[in-house]
Amino acid sequence: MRELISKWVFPFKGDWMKVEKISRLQLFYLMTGFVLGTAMILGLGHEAKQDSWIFILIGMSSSLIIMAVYTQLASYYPGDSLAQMLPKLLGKFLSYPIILLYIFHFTYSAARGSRELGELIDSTILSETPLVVIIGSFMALMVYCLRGGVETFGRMAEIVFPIYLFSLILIWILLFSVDQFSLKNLTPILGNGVTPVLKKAVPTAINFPFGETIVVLLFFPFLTHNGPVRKICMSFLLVGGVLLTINSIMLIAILGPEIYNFDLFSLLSATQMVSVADFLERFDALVILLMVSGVFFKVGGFILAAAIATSHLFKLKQTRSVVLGLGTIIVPLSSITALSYVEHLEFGFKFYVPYVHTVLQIILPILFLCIAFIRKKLGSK
Amino acid sequence: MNVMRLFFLLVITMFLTGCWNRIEINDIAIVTAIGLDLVEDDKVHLSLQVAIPSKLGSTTGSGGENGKGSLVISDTGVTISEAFRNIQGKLPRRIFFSQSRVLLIGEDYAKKGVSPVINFHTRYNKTRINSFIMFTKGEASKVINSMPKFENISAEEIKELNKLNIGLKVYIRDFLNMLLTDGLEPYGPLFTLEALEVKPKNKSEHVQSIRGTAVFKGDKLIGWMDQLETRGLLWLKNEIESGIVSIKIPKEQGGGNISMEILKTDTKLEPKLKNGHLQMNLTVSTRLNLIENDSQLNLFDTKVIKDLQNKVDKEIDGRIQMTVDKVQKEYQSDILGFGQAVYRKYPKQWKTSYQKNWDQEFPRLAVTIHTNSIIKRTGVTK
Amino acid sequence: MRFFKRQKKLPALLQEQSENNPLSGNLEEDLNRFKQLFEGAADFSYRELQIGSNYSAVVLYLNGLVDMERMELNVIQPLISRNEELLQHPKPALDQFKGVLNASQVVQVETFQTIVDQLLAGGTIVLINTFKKVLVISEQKWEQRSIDEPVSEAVVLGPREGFTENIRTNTSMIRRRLKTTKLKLEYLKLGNLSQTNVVITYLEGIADVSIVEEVRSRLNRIDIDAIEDSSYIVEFIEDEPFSVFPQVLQTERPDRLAGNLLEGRIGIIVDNSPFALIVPVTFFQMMNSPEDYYGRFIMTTFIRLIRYLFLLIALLFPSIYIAVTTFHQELLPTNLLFSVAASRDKVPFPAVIEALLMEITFEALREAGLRLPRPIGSTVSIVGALVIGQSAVEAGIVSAPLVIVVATTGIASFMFPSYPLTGAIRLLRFFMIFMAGTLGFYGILLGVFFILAHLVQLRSFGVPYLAPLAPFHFNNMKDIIIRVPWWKMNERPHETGKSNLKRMNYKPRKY
Repeated sequence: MRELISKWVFPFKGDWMKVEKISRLQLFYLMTGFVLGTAMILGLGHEAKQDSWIFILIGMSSSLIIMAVYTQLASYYPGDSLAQMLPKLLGKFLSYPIILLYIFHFTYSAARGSRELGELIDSTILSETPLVVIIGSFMALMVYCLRGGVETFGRMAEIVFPIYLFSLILIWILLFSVDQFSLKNLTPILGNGVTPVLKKAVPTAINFPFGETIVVLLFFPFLTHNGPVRKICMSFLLVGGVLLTINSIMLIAILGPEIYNFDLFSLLSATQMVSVADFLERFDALVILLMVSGVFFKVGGFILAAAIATSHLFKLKQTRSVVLGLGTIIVPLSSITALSYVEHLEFGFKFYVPYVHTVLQIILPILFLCIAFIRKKLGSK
Repeated sequence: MNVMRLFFLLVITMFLTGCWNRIEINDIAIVTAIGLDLVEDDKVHLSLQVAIPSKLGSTTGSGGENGKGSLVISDTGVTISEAFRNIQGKLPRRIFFSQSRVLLIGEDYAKKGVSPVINFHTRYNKTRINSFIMFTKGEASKVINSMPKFENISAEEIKELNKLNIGLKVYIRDFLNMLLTDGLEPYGPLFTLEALEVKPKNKSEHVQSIRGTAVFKGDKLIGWMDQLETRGLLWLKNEIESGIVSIKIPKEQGGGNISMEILKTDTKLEPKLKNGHLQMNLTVSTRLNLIENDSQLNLFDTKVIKDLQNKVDKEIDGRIQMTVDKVQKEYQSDILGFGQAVYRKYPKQWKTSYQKNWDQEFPRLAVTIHTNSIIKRTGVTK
Repeated sequence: MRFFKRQKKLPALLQEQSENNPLSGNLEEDLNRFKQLFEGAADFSYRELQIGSNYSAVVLYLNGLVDMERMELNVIQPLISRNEELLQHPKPALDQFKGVLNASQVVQVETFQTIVDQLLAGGTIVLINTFKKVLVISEQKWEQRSIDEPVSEAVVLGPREGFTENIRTNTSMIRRRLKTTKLKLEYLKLGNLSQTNVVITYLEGIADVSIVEEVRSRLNRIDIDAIEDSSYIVEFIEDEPFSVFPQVLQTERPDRLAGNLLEGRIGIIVDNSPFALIVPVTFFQMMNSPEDYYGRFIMTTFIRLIRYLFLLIALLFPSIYIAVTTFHQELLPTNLLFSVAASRDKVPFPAVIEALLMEITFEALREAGLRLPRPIGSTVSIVGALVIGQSAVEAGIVSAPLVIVVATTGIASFMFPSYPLTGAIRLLRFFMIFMAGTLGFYGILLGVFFILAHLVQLRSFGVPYLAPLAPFHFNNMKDIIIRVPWWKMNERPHETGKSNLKRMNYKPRKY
């Protein structure tokens, strides 16, 4: 009787990990939103100009292989998160610093996402509002939302993602109506051959945003039915990648490769071109909605991953206080790591994504898989 | 739980402390058009047409007839932003660019190079990239001062005029695109004040109109094209949406004129590379509606129609050829986008042999025009 | 969030009453005891009778709670009319006295406390000397409101009877609708002083047993001196007491309660309150009107879409107006911007203050119209319309577009079928105005996300508040934004009716 009451009245008290669950659909929504997230704001493969959609496709297809590595790893340790499987895999002493590294990676990535949102808002609609206010208020929302743990976040995804998708498709339909829309802008396809695009795409396009889905390794334990997860993981990568590809095709067709490369927030400038029947204009608000909800998925996913990893590492019973702590760290972290947006982007695309991402999201997981494979072989013998 | 509450309380108080960007709608000066001129050789003369809402609003009704709905404020500066700051110093309200849909650039300024203004207009977050860009012979500030005839504000009129698609319609975004793209030089519409009546008994009022084209090379204005040549450019650019084609019937056939309304045109530009020889093929297909006939021809006859179609073909061919000649021979600036078309079709050859010396290649380019016109209907009488 | 600790000790006031000495059997002594207890209670009446020569009796009752005529006829007359059999019996048992009475419901009661309780509940007590037990006759009758049309949930089509203040009438209305033994009506008493009757009602085999148990336990933990209305109970049993959103559905309509019972929900009927409570409840139920089920389903779907659209308008319209006029003027079409700017030219306040002012005035008008007697109420609205609608605009204190915004919002907020939900939306509107006033569109987005995050965390008796949207359940979407025709609703909602999903045995129509 007592237990029942506590279960109903305080669904999140007690051993929260046993109560919280996330359905497959929720995971799919959440992770697709996660893939789209900031990539939708920043745009991908600007340097590849009219071939940026190929750039994205290359990134997506290569990341499917990486995802196979992740899911294979998860299948060796069913029901365990990354932070729970690593000690079993590497032993306590080796795994601790690595998990800490991942926690830091997630935290910093969340900070980067918030910074990008802040910069977007600051340089488009609220030019005089301090960055810290924008990021701070956003983080307050994140903390409020994530205090309910995976479950709340999953449900939020269930509501927000359909809205997100709907607005995205609405924007695309509107973009079709723009005079300048011309698929000729996409030509010549691979004018310089495939090698330059390939060179740019590997590993950057794999790492951002697709490789970042390594956070999913921390959500597996909360899935309602512990079954094979590969299908769902592949599908969110595919859907996310295809949506990004279509988006970049739409944007190039409207803006032309030069402006696509020239604009910082190309989706926003493309949307500003929309004018339906001279009356329906200015859909900027829709883009802001897309961006805020995209960053919501991205930053939320990272914070949650970091919180779960932390609580699993230190064997805490709940993540609420961890989330609160992370939130308070991320706000200053997002502003102090770079003085200007240029510096922020430079650090991100010249150092963080090519090197740190590659190590944490490609090299280490493959290494883990090898070790797990060998262990399994030895164990079975 | 309590920590959480405290945290949210803190956040809420943070909100209470400020409204950073808040600016009331009655504290902004809504710019409806921007004009740019060059003065003293290197200074920018910026004129802004600012709307006066109390004179425009229909709600209060007290505005009535007492004066213009807008005023023009101008100042000079070394850069555009400096001129803008100087103007702000003279205005009691915050200058608000976002509603401005018209950018007028004077001849002198355009000749010196329009990069700064394009850069400012696309970089500054408060301006819209879908403003119309236009050029004036002489000073832009004079044109901007003109009185509106139909709308409350002249800028609105300019906007509407642009949307009619009779002349060229170039957004800043398009201009920027042309500026940035290899093998495509920018052009823009020429904006002038025309007399309202052609043969005035007394001094006629002036009305705004878009006639002609400003031709650029790089970001510098190099010349103008007149109304007729502009029509040719529109054919070339596949931007004709409406228009009249008139043909003269020769004396042998009875004389007179026939006018046709354009229903739809489709222009295809295709480069052809054969044995290292580059050739541009233009295919123009047109659908027309016959609307006026004062000749003796019996239009209820397919042979006559066929003959007419041939005449139309020749007419269109002539118009386009004239424009191509002018651009190729006189201005030698690839506003037609031939280079871009080559790049799209033959990216490798473009990179290796054409990109660098396109300026020399362009005037020598052979252009063939194929026209194909169909008269769909001949009106409601025989 | 702390749930209330159950106090075992009764308040001091009631302590002496609870002494539980049995009756002595001595009529005089016992009568005095009652007299003492009811001292100062003017409605306490008693009548002494002589039964034959051996027995004397006292009839106790509270004036106004007892049907005097029937008591005279069924209790007093039979006792004093010389019943030969009774009088000739040397030592008649109490049962024999009981047999004499004509009343339908007579029980023997021994403990003093129970006797007092029965007396207070409107029972008639018959004390007979030498007996330590008493006879309690239930012949209650008091003045009450007749069954009326429900005011708060009026419908055009559909039944017109509403709950009354009498719990018996109310339960009978439910029973009339569900003639099955599966319908359970569990009685309990709440309120230390009020001793209010509360009925938990549910359909056995359909309602989730654990939720029924939870309702029982939450009700049992209520400790309060009196329950004057079912709303008292609401605040005790809600999952998240600090939320603005209602987590219990209050309804005046027996048909609505019966319909909800059929979906596996649980009803709580409280004496002296015409509002029954329904738990667990979801957000979408709050948005549904009982009429939705009586009107044609195509029309209902359309109306529901309108309702959700106006939910957004009621919540966001003023804040969007503020955001657009003070932050994002570029989003307005040029001509519209000119007219808004022209109308705001003379207004001395910032748009946020202006909007807050108007909204608060509107709330005041609404409240005033509600509180005043009905004939004067209309004057308030006329004066309000004149003052706000015209004079203020003409004087240039507020701008005309804002009046339009506030008026539209006002209309929109009257659209919701659930009164408590309207309150929540009205409150959140101010929150949204505040967010829009500080951060513009970004603030509005954050605000909406905050509300969503709150809603997804909310539960009503363990059922997620936004079910079946989040967590998503496709089959249950049949009755959320669209309403499928009745013959398509072949399943009960999963969140409450899991134990018995099937509503129909076979498909009644082939579509």
